[in-house]
Amino acid sequence: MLFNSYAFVFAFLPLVLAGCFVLARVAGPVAAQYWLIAASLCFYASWSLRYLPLLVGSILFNFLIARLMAQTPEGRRGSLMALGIAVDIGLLAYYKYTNFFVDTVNMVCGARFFVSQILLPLGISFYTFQQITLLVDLSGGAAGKQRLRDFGLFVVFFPHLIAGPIVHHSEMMPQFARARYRFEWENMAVGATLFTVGLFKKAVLADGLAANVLPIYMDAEHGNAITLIYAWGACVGFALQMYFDFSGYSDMALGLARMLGLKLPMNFNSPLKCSAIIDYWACWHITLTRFLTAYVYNPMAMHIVRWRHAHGWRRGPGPRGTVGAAVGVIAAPTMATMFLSGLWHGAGFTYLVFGLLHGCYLSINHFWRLYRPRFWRNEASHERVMRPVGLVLTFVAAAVALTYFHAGTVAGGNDIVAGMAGLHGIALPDVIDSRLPGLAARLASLGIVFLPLPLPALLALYGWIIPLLAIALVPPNTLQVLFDYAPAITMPLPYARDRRIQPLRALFERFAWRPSAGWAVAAAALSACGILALNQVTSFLYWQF
Amino acid sequence: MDAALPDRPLETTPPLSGRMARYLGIWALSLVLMLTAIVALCVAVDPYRVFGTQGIAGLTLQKPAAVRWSRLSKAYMIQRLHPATLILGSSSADVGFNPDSTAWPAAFRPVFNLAIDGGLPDTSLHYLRHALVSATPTQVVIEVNFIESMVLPAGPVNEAAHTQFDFAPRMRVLANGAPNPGYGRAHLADIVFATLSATSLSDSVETLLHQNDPSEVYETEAGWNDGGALRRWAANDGFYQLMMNKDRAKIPQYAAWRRNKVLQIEPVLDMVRVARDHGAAVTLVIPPNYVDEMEALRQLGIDADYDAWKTALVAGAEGNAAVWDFSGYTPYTTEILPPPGDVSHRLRFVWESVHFQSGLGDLMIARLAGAPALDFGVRLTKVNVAAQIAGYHAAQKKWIVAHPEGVARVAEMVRHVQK
Repeated sequence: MLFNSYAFVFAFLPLVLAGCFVLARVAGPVAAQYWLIAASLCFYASWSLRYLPLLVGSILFNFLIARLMAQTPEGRRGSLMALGIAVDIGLLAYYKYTNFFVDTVNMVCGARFFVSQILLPLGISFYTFQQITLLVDLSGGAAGKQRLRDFGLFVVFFPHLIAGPIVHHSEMMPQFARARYRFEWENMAVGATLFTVGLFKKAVLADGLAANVLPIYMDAEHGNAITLIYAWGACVGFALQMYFDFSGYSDMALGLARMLGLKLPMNFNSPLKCSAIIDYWACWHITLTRFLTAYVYNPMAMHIVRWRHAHGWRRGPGPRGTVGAAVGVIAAPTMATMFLSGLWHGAGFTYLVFGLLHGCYLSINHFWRLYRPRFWRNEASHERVMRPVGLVLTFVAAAVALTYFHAGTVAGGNDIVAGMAGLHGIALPDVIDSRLPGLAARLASLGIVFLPLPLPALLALYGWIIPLLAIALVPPNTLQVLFDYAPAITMPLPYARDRRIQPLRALFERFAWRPSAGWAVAAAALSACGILALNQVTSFLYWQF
Repeated sequence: MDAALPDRPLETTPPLSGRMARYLGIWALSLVLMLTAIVALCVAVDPYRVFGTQGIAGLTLQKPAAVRWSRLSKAYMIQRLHPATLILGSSSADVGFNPDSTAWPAAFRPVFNLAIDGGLPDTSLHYLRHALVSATPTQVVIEVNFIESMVLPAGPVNEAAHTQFDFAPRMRVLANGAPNPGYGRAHLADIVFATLSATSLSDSVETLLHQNDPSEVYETEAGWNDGGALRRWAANDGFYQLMMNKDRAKIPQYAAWRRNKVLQIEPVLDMVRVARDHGAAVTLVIPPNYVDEMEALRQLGIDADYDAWKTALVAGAEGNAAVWDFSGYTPYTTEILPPPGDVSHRLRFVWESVHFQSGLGDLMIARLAGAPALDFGVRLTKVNVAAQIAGYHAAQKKWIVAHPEGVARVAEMVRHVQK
């Protein structure tokens, strides 16, 4: 059951909300909490009844480990934590990576090992990460004893169960304990508005663009050379599709939680407005970045620093440090973290390329920030030049990495990237040649060839890309528009204080949601568009991780 | 980037609650009004003829979107109409046989064209079973094509482009003729699609904006695709380009079929049997394909298979259906193709190697209805089929000698495919 389906919007959601509010009023918040757990398990079972026992078993196992850890003195919790993480990672590795591992061994060694196709349990990457954070924090004393119902709801809460945001126990457990689960007009209005905006972004914008992007990727998979204009359209188009799809999903998740009186963490903050890839990752899939930074990058970097100190290498990275230190302390953990990020996103070489590309981008960006002041000291001129240049560079770099993310094979991704570099030439639909012979002759002299390609498809592709690019770059994002009503646990800076490049800033500075008749009609129009798009149900891009 | 906010309670104060309640109330009311307006528009325009709303001339009568959704629209249209004659087949029949043609004898009328663009005999059989739940035709005319009986190594020919629309749940019966238990649910989904979807809304608007547009393609109330798309392509790109495009699409399919050479005529014979069981007289029609098609079969070395297919069809249908053969080297299939880039001269009888024009369709209908022997159209029987095939090859030899440029044109494409 997808968020963007009739069954969810018109049956599941109203039923869950009504049940929760009635139970909370009649029997108290604990009953409402159990209702939400049951509803979330039903939500999961509607997708994958077969893997419901795995989800429940994983929760019970991790709860048991957490309970044992809470009863064990702090210094002696390590082995329990290791056991818990080993089982969690083991399950994830089995379900997600066995086929990939066997296929890779067969490919590299020419072996013929056979493992039947293992179906990936829905949401396993998300609920595994969330439980690991709790075990790690329990081990370090950063978390206390948990109640089963809080623990269960923390993992299975349906708004974030399948595709995040990846929530942290410290931000959810207190809410579960404090929430009244009662109907509140403000929660319903803010939550429904968020959900509607998310539905519109996903069902209308992302899916509308997807129909024009997909055929080019399929062409690339079939080995057809993708020419320049189409390659750029595919690359930029998918980056936008991904942004509107995933940020739309995140808005919907935040909205659903808010209707129930709960808040989830922000997951997107207009990442395409960023002028550096470091900032981009601070604004794109924020909860994943937060997890990877806290639980992978920081421990790894700290370990390397300690190891270097232990071996007498005390000079750090920095302008007065050494390049070796920069490589060891920054580049190595960055590359390793992004490698794991790629692997987390999917078991395939395309995801590894995606992760490694971002590892390179981030390392280069870190080096630039460290060493740029040596040769470009004027901060004002740097800002003036690099903010627009960085914006374009960051967007193109991220879009290229996403091209591999979406491509079925690395070769398919290479095909599109080569096309973007002009290696496959420039082609236009031949109808231009027949309708506008004068223009066509001039273009032909520039090396542009005319092939039997459909012109309407090309116009539709760029007809989607241009307005969507404007929406991603110009107006405030959903959370900024709803800023006064704090729909998320953490919030972006208000639009007026957001110092990133914001074209037409003056036009949008007072663009804020309020419970007015105008906004109600606008929200109704968006929800009508969303409902009209429900019959073409497409899954979210982050659904199978 | 983040601004951590004080974690204020989520309960609201009464004045704010009132504003929020008003906001939600206006939202709900606006949404209901908008959706009601959209549903009303879609039902009134009825772009796919799902509801059978009476069309208004100049406003909603012609349905351009129904052509794109013909598998949906025809499934519903046939449930409301009670034709005396049912036409089945693929796009050739869809475009070529106009049910409103005056060539149909009175006893055959009313006629409904249930031919499905890109449909294979299996698809037609399923639609026939679906139609017979409510309709009681006395005549069933089935267009049968050699290529549609081929089973390619990778699966049946043609169907791929249409598999995105899963028609089977919309049928009143399953493929085996048993009642379809999922029909009610699929019907509800279709109603929602036809009233509350972005596609139906945009198609309704398109219907309103594109009435009597000569560049548009329409599906008539009797299920006929008026060939507007082919007419437009021919006018823009010329018949030569149209012919080449079709040849380039078909010749690789013939070439691929040579790898396994599996033919399947059982669905056609099943159609005959099902129609006969319902008391209808059945006519199988082998359509007049342009000479390029016949020459490609010869050059690919499968014209003997074509002969065998025809013979098997006649043998299988003998006693249950009349088999009419309009193929062969006739004045209608051997017109001189205008040169490349020529958009002023047109072919009079066919659009390209597969689709015949409705004018030629009218001549075929007249022949089926007993018009005196024209220079084409032969009723095949076990007795005369061998002689007819021999006549076909004799005419073929003459054409090859007389038209080396045509032979070379097809040879070039066959060479390209074989590379």
